[in-house]
Amino acid sequence: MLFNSFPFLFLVLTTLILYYNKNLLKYQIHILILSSFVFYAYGQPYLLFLLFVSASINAVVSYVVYFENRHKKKKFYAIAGVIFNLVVLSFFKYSPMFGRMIEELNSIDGVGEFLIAVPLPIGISFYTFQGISLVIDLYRNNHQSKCPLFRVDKDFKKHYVDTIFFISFFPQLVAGPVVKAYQFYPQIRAKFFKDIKFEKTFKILILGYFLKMVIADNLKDQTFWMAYPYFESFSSLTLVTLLFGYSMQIFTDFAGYSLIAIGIAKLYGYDLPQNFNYPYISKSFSEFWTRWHISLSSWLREYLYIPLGGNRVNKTRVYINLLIVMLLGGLWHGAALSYMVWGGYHGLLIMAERYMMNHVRLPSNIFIDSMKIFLVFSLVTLGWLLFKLPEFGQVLAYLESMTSNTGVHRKDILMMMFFYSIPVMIYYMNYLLKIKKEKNYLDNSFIYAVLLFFIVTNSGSSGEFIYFQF
Amino acid sequence: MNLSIFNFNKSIRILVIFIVFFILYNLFIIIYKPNITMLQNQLQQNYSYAQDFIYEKKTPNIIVGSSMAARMKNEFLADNYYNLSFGGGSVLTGLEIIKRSGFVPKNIYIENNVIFRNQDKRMLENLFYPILSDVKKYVPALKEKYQPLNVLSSMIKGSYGRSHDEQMNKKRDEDIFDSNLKRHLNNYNKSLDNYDIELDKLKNLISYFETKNTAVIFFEMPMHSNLTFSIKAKEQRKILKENFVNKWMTLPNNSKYKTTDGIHLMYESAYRFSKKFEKEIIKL
Repeated sequence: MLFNSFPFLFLVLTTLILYYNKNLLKYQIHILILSSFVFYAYGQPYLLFLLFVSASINAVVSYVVYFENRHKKKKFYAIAGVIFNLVVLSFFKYSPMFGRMIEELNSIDGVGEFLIAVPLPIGISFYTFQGISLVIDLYRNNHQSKCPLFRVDKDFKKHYVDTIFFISFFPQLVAGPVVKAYQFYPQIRAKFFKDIKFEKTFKILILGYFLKMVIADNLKDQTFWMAYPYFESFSSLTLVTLLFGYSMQIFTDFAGYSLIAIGIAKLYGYDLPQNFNYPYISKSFSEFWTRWHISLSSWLREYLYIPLGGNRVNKTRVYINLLIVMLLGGLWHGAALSYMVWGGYHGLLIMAERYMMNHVRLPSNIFIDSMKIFLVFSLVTLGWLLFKLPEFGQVLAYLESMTSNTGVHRKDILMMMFFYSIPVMIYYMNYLLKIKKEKNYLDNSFIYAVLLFFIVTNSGSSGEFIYFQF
Repeated sequence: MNLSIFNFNKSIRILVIFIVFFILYNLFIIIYKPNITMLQNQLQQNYSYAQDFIYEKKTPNIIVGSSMAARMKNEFLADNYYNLSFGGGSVLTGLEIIKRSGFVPKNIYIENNVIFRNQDKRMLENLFYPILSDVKKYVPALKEKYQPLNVLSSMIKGSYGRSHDEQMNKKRDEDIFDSNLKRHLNNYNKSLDNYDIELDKLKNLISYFETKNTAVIFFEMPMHSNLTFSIKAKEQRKILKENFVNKWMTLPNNSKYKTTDGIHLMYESAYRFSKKFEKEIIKL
């Protein structure tokens, strides 16, 4: 169910009415679980069973981990829980990739075909990571901890319902933000309509829908031409512009989605973590990853990079850890070699940057800072080619076309890219001004009314969120 | 439910300003009637053509087809013709739109170069979404055509857009033509894939219109000669002849027309073919 569809609007409103009904207050979580199941089953009804089983097993394992006193057993259960989530993720996400490999090798009859047919449950990368977060958080913070991040109810039934809710909460179910258990469980309590911060929520939703429906969806219909073989017919400038447009599209698509998820969750009294913090003004690649898909990068840092040793190990090992995290982070995005290469590409950029920073000290002034921002943005944008074009050959062909300048110059595409990039640039400039002048120039009713006007009158053709595929 | 009206105040202000903008913009469209000469992309063009047909232009002669027939712009055709062909789209989508609009034309001309392409279900759903599709009829700002950016870019298009004369004299990029033709030859020399579902749909739709006394006529757009008699093109013709007894327009003389890529007519050729099409089709 798309966030920008009428069935979704109906679901949100119906759920709100039931959720804040005085007579149903004690069933608030149950109402949200039911709505989340309806939301999930709308697209893939049979895969709701997998979500339910996965959440149920995480509930059982996390409960056992939390209340187990013997350290060895606790560790054993925690590892089992993590492995379970990884197996579910690997099987459903990567089977088709292995299936295709087997088919190519023609080695075992039927196996490849079977693996290719394994369906990809929407949001599986997100909800399995939340399951892992739950198990690890409760392993690290058990019932004997003096200052636990959060407590688990002794009543298993309550923990079970809370966990099903945590894993399936519909605003963040299919594309994040990836919520960590310690961020969510402490918020589970009765909520009241009077506590909703309407103005803030309304503004978040308007901004989210504007970024998605007006900017991303319209850019999508232009960047369509980046597909093979169309790109072969365009001039260098057109291809560079298309790539720039895709960079804007992927940002507005995902940042827009995240804002909508955050806004919808606020309607029910829940705060989801910020997922984007103006990533394209990053002055370094490591900064970029503290601003882009923050919930995932912080998840990888907390549950993978730090357990691997983080920065506490020797220099070589730090580089290796960084590369491992980025490679796996890339692979998390999709079952294709190009995603892994994309992760590796970012890993290498971070490694090179770290090496440079250890050896060269650049002064900080507006010129150097602008050059750094430009460089980071350009290389990040170049990396998005691996997202847009599924095959390496196509990526190379695109780069070749970009340098050969043989095709047609499409002024209409240039103009549309320019128009739709302006709001994004204003959005970023306002952020920079906000830092400097401590004033948010865009935060007024008139601006939000204009954004709403454009949502209603100038939306692109509705498309799925890019991150749904992950 | 404890409603605190004060909590809503600023949100309501946003809504009120929005409503004022929205009403003013609708009035601007109704009074000023901007001439939209530029749409942002192919998909929007398809929606715009479809909405124009559904809400305004019910002509007795309707053409349905793919991007190949879409080259015959409505501006090239007489007022009693309307081209409901879609870039990247299908004959079946066009026929379904006519059917769902409830209109019964006198003649439907079906381009059969790309005849077995799937119906665009999302497009049909969006065009005929309950209530919203009726609202769009009376609120022009909700139509794709009148998106503010289309109005704005149409106004400034003159500064960079090509005129009719410039388009008529436009030269072909031979490198792009060669590489695209090669690709199309490769595709057209493969046999047709599964087409049973599409054939059944086509039969149903044609029979629906024929029971309403609409004449359904097949025609082919000119393309590169090597493609006209390729495996796929010949198979398509054979299947259609076996399953339908409808009239056909004589195959065009390909040598008289130029394409940009082997299958899509250049502007000048599309203009000439549109005129030829009107003359030929009248004879049937």
